[in-house]
Amino acid sequence: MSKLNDKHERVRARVREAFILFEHKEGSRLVDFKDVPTAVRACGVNPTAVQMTHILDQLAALNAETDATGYVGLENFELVVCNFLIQQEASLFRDDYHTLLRAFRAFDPDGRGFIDAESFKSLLTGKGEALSEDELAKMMTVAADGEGKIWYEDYAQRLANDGRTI
Amino acid sequence: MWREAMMELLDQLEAENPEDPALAPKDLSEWACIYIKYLQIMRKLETAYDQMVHPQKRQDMRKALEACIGRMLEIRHWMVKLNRGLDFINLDDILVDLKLGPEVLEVPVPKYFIEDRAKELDDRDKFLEALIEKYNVKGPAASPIIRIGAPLGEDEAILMIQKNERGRQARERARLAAITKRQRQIEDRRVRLGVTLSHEEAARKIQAAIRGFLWRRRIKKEADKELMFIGMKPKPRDPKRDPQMGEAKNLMRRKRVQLEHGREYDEAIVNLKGKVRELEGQDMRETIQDKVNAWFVEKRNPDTGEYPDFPDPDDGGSRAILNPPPPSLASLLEDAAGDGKGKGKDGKGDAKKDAKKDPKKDKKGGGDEPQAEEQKIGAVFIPAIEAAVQEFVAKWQDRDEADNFHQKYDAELVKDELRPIVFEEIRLQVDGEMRVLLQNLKDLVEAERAAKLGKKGKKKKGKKKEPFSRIKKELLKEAKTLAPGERVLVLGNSREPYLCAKKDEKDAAGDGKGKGKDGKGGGKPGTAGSKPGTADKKKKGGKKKSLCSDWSCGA
Repeated sequence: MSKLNDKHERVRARVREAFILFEHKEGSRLVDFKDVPTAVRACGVNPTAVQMTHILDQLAALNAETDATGYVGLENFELVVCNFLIQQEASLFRDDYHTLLRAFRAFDPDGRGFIDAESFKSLLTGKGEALSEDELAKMMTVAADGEGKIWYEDYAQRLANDGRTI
Repeated sequence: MWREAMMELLDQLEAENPEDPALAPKDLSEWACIYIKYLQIMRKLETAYDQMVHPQKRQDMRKALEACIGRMLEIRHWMVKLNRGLDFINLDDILVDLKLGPEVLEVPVPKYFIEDRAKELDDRDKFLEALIEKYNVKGPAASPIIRIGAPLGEDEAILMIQKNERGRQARERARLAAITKRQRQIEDRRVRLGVTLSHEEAARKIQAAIRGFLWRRRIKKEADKELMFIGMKPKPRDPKRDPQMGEAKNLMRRKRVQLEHGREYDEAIVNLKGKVRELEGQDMRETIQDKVNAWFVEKRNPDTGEYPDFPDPDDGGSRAILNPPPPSLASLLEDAAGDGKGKGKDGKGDAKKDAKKDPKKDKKGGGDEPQAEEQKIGAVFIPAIEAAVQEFVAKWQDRDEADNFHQKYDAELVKDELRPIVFEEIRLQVDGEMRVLLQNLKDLVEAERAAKLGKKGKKKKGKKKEPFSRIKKELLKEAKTLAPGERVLVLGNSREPYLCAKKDEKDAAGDGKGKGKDGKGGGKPGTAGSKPGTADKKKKGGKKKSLCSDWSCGA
């Protein structure tokens, strides 16, 4: 039991850390609503858009009881996100390198080791939980080389190892 | 280095084959010592060969090196045998005794193994590449990791990538935020402390910081210098003066020069060969011809005048003539006992042969002894080593090369090498010519002999000369006694002129045979007859003379 508590404590500390990082004003204990997804992900998880909406809904519901508008308080955030992280632990399990490689290989049938950035961009914006232009641009600065090729082995490695501490 | 190696090789040979058989190496450790020595010599030779620029020296060195390697292997093999067939030989103790490191036992692979086959190896690589191209063989899989697991479905994959990428971006933002936040905190703290800097103060701080930096740097430099001075730190390498780089460059350059000189040498061989043929060929030709002619004369059968058969080209043609083989013992004895005929030549041959034989004998004697001793150990390479050492001593040891700084080929040496070749070529030519000549001579002899057969007849007739002169004398005598008016009628036949005369004495007046000849033999008798031509009276009866002289038709 203490072990479980211990774990909860660690998660809580982590969530709090992420929250404070995104405070809209130093020491205000308030985070802008639009920063919430980022803060959640900063905890080291990769929730889907659906899961994120779910969190935001919960927070909005809690917020409705208070007078704050457009901001989320620390208590509410902690409550919702900690619950989310602990309950959804199984679904939040991070994809490992090999799984990611398999994903990329779906777009590299010849096994050349790279994916053409342009065609990949249209896929990312047209399918699934589409990325925004802004997100896409940021992604390409990291993923693609100078010739518009995504050498996905390197990139997958990076995705898999990024902030992996939960 | 070469000199050193060759001298060592010589020492080694001596050490290995001492005069006193008791000192000869016997047990494994002694052989091991020798093995190590050979190994060292071989390393030296190899290095020298690798870097030697002089093309002719290289050739000789190659021989020495190969002989050395061969001998080394021989000894190694022998050592294994002595070691009860175990391939591993414990050389540690010997190394300790000789005060050598274990790296001495490393057997270097001569670089020329690869260099000489460079083209071949290159071709092989190309051939393999071509084969790969032709049969479209795929290279090894880029990475086995990629192959693990089938690719995901497209939608699932996209979703996963998007999710992960979002997460990554968020965390990146978090990191940035953390950094900015920390900075802001520092600034805030400063602001809260209320430390505002005047220009003066700021300048002083910057100056202090810079001074600190500069001095720290200088002190570090000084410290490094000090450490370098006392040898605690390696000196920084100047890439331009790095001895290793210089050495490598030097080696490369030498290889290039080696190649150039080798090419020059090859060209020179062709050129000089022509030159040698041009300049010295005529002399050679004359010498050979003289010798062969002398041989003809000498070997000519003194009785019959017949010439000997020319040696077969398969047997070396005139080689046997030019370098007469040592006469057999029997012939020597014969010579000693026999008359002095042909002694001049034989004596010369003997001297030559003796001179040639002696060193050979010495060498052989030297080589035979240890061979007999070692018995089981092969000594196939010892003669080769000896030959190499001897060649070195003869050709190179005392050579003054002060004027050959570039180590180009030596034209004289090339000529020396070429001379026998050219000589041989010319010899073959001369052989052909002489063979024709000999045939002609033989024909001539044959013709002469045929003529001599005819002469034999003449000789028989020569016997008749006697009767002839007798006839002449007698005739003259008779003529003197003839009375004026008397005539001489010469009768007789060619076969029995003398008998004729005798018969004549017995009164052969009726010799009808002789009568028919009268007119024919009339040349001389005519003159004889002319003397008494004044006399009309014919001598009849008992005093009639009948002589025969058909000599005029003898020639």
